[in-house]
Amino acid sequence: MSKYRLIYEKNDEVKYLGHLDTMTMFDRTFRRADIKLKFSQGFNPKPNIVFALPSGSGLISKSEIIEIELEEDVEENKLIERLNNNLPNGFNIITANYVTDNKSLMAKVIESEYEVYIKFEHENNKDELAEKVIDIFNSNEILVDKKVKPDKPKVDIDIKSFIINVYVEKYVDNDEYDICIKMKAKAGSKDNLRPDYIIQAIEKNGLAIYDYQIIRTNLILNE
Amino acid sequence: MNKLTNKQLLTVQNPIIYTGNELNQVIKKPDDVKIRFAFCFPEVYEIGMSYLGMKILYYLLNNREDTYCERVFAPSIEMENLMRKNNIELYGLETKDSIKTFDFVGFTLQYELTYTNILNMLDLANIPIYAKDREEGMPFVIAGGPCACNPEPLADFIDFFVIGEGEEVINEIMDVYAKWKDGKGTRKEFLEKVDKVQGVYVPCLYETKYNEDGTISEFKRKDNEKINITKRIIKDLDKVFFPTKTIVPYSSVIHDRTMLEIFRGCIRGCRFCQAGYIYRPVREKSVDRLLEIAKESIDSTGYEEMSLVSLSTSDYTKFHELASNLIDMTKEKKINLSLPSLRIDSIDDKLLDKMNSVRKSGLTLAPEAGTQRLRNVINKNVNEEEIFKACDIAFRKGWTVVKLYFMMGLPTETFEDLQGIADLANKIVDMFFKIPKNERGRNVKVTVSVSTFVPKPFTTFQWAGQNDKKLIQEKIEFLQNATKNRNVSFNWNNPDVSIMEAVIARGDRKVSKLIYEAWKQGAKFDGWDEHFDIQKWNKAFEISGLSKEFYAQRVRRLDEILPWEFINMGVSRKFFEKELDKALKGEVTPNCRQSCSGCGIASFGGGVCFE
Repeated sequence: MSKYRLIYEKNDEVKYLGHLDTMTMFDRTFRRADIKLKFSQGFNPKPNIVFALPSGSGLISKSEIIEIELEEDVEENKLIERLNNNLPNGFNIITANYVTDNKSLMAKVIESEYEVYIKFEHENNKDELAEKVIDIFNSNEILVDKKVKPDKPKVDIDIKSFIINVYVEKYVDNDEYDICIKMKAKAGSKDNLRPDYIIQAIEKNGLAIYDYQIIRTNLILNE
Repeated sequence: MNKLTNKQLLTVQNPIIYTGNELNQVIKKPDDVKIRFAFCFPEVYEIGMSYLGMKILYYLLNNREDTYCERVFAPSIEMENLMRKNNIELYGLETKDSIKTFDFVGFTLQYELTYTNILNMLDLANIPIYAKDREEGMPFVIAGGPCACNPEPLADFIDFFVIGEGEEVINEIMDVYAKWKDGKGTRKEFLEKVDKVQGVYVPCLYETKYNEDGTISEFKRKDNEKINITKRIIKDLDKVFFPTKTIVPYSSVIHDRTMLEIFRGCIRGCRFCQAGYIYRPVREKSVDRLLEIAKESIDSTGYEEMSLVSLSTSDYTKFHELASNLIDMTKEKKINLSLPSLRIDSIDDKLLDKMNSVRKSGLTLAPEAGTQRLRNVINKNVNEEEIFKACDIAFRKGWTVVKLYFMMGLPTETFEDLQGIADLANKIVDMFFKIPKNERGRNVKVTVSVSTFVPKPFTTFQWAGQNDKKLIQEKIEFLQNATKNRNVSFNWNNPDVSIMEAVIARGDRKVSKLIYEAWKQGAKFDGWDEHFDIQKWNKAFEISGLSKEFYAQRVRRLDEILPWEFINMGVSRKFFEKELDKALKGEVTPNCRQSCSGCGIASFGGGVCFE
C-alpha cells in the first residue's frame, strides 16, 4: 500500500475553494504531475484522497493534512517537488511522509490552532472593543447557533469547553485589522470548534464586525 | 474602485468564481501593454468558462505583446446586488480593474436570450448602453460569434461586429487599433479605419429605411458605397493557433474537460440548422495535429475527461483511426473520452465498442421529426431502420437509456407527424423488451425531448413562420397524451421562450428597442427557467409598439429584404430558394461528400469542396 501523508498550505488566492472542488483540484494536479493516484472501484471511480479536517470556504490554512494512496511508491522529496511544480498558485506542499498504519486519519485529529483577524465596524475605541472580546472569552458560557439543516429547529451550543486556550492581540497602527484572536481549540470527529462560531459569538454580543480573516495555523493529531 | 470584504464575499454562493487565480490564467502588467481587452461572456462563470471560442481568443490575444486580454462574466443576481450596493463596477477577472477603462469590451453572441445580459453588463460597467452615447476615451464595445450573422437587433448597442471565425481578423483589428491609438485619432476615425477590415460591420455607417407594413425598403451605407461584408474563415485548421495550456477552473463549470475541435462546418445541409450553413465549408484538422493537441492538453491541464467537438463527429473522415488513438492515450491516465454529436447512421458495433470501453452514459439520437416524410422535408437523411438498428445494437451492448431529440412546428408538419414521434418511441420500447432478457439490461427508459422550431437566418427555412402559442400548446398536449407509456418520458420547452428566440433571431434594428425596454423592466438571465419572465417582454412589446407576430409567426415574402442578407455568409440566396422548393416537395439533397449541390461556399476556396 503506497500511502502518504501530505501537509500543505492553502493561501489567500485559493481560500474560497470548497471541499469537493479541492478533491477535483488534487485529482487534476496528480495527473499533470504524472503521479498515479489509486482510484476506488465501481461505476464512478474516485481518487483515494482522505482529508483530516476539511476547511470551510474562506479559511486560509498553513496546515492542511491529507492522506493519499498511489499506484506505486514515489520518493518523498520527488513527490513534493512534482506536486509543487503542478499545483495552482496558492497551494504549497510542505511535507510528505510514507504512512504504514491503517488507522483513520480523521479519527486522529484532536486539536487545531487558529488566528482570527478582525476589523470592527465602529472604530472609535479599539481598546474597549478588544476588552469586550476578552470578556466574552472569560465568561462562563459562550452560546452560538449550531449550524443545522434549514428545516430543523434552531439549537444553541456552548463552545466554551471547546476552547483550550485563547489570547487576544491588539493592533495599534494597523489599518487592516484591529485585533487578532490566537486560540487553540478542540477539533475532529468528536468535539469540533468551527472557527466561524467565534465570529458569531462576537457579533452576538453586539460587536459589529466589518471584516475578518481566519487562518488555521496548525492541526494536531493524536497518533 | 472598492473591494468587497471577505465577509461580504462569503455571503454569495461560490465566491471563488469572482476571484480568478485559476491554473494557467495569464498575468501581465497592465502598464506594459498598449491594448486592454475585456472578453465578456454574457452568462455566469459556470457556463461561460466552457466556451471553446473564448479559450482560443483569450490565449491568441494574450500572445500579442501589446495586448492583455482578461475574462468577464455576468455576476449572479445576488453578487450583482452586492456589487451595486457597494459601488463595485464590472471588472476583469485577472486584475479586478474596471472594464470601463479598457480599450475593447467584446461580447460573444451565442444565444439570443443572453442579449439582456449584455445590456446589464454594460450598465454594471458604467459604460453607456447605446453606441451613440459613448465618448472619446471610452472602450469600443464589439461583438462576434454565431448570432452575429444577424447583428441588427444589437446594432444600436455595438460599435462594430466581427463576422465569422476570429483567429485572423482579431489580430488585424488589433493592428489597426494600435496604429490608431498611437496617432491619437477620434472614435469616428477608428471606426472608419476598422470598417475596411474584411468581416467587420460598423452599424453606424449604415442606415435602414422601412415600408409602411414594417418590412425593410432599403438598407445601405450612408456613404452610398457598395456593401461588402463577407464572413472570415480559417482555411488551414492545422496551421491555425489552438491553445493547449488552457485555464482549469476550480469549480462546477459545465462541460469542464479538454475540448478537441476536430472540424468546422457540416456536410449534411439539414434545412433548419443555421450552424451547418454558416460554418461552411467543412474543414478538418488532421489526425496527427489532433493527437498532438490532445497530448499537450492532457499534460498541461490534467483534466479527467476529453471531448471531441464538432457539428457531426462521426462525419470526420478518419473517425475510427482518431477514436482508437485517443482511447489508447486516455485509458492509461484514466481519462474519460466523450463522443457527442454522433449521427444515427454511424452507430455500429465498432463505434459502440469504443464507447463501451469508457464510462457509459445514455445514448442520444436526433431524428428531429417523427415521420420519413417530414424528415425528408427538413433534409435529415435518416430512416426508421437506421434508428432501430442503432438502438438494437446499443441495447444488446447494455445501454438502457435512450434520449431522442425532435422538434415540433416544422414547416408542413401535421399531427400525423407528431404521432410519428410517439410511435417511434413506443416501437423502440417494444423492441427492447423483445430482446431476450439475458441479452439486454433490466429495464429501458426512452426520453423524448421535443423543442419548438425557431426559424433562423441563413437557413432554408429563414422565411418560415413559427407556430403561434396556441398551436404549440395544442401540440404539447397532443404529445403528452400520445406518449403515455411508462417507459417513455416527454420533455418540451416553454413556448414563450421559443417565441422570444424567434423574434430576436430574425429581428431587425427596431428590435433593439424591444431588448432595451425588456432590460429596463428588469429582464436578465432570460435563458434560465427561473428568471425568464414573459410579462417583462410583453410590457416591452407594448412600449416599443412592436409585435411578436410580425417577427416570429409571419411568413416572410420571397421578395422581402431580410435584415441579415447584406452579409455574405457564403451560401447563396438562390441555393436557399432552391432548397425551400425541394423541401416543400419533400425532396432530399445529398451531403457534400456524396455530391456538390452548388451552395456557393466553394468560392471561398478550401475545405470539403476541394476534397
